[in-house]
Amino acid sequence: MKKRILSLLAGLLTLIALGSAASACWAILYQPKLPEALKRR
Amino acid sequence: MKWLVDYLDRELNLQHDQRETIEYGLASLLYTALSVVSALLLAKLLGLYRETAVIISVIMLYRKVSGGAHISTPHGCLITGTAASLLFAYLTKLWAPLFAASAAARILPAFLALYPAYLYVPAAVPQKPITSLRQRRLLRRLSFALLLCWGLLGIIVKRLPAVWSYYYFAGSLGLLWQSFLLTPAGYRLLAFLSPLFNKK
Repeated sequence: MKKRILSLLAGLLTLIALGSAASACWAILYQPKLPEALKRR
Repeated sequence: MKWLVDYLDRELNLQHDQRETIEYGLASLLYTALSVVSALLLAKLLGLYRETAVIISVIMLYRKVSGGAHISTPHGCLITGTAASLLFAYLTKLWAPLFAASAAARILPAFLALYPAYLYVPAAVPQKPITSLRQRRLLRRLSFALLLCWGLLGIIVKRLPAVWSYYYFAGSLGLLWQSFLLTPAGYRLLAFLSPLFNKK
């Protein structure tokens, strides 16, 4: 059960990261460097 | 923040790429939430809650598709973003009762925003270059669609109760601020402000 919840959380955070990478930039005034893992997608 | 990623890494045996992606997603979520919550809390204290909520929503939505200038540190972003949204909320309180009902206030903002959008969208930053032509086209289309919707809303609000014109005015200030951040002058302003927030 714990693993399932953690996998769900990891999936959600991955989804947010992919959404951020697909948009022009973050919604706020700060934008860190895009990680290599997301640049390759 | 790092402890949560470390914990997920330990429990789920993440690969390097997965870990990087999750870390980026978590940072995006936390920094955005922190910026929004701090601006809204201050706005609540100052009696500008609703105006600020509308302004932030419009800025964030348009920013996601149009891009624009950035500050180099998270706390710089927090301070500048909060100050700007509160300033525009205050200006809404001052100016909206005088101008919100006028045709110019309902039509001009979307028109004015079209020019920087045409010239600069999507406005990328070195930290996140937009290299794919397909992505550039999509972001441009989404930006123009959003401006079109905003312009149409300006026509519709005339037929709605006056309170709609008031909040439309607030949103328009947010839209114009974000449009300014697309221009070279906007980049210069934030480049000028950035060093003020760097640690010495």
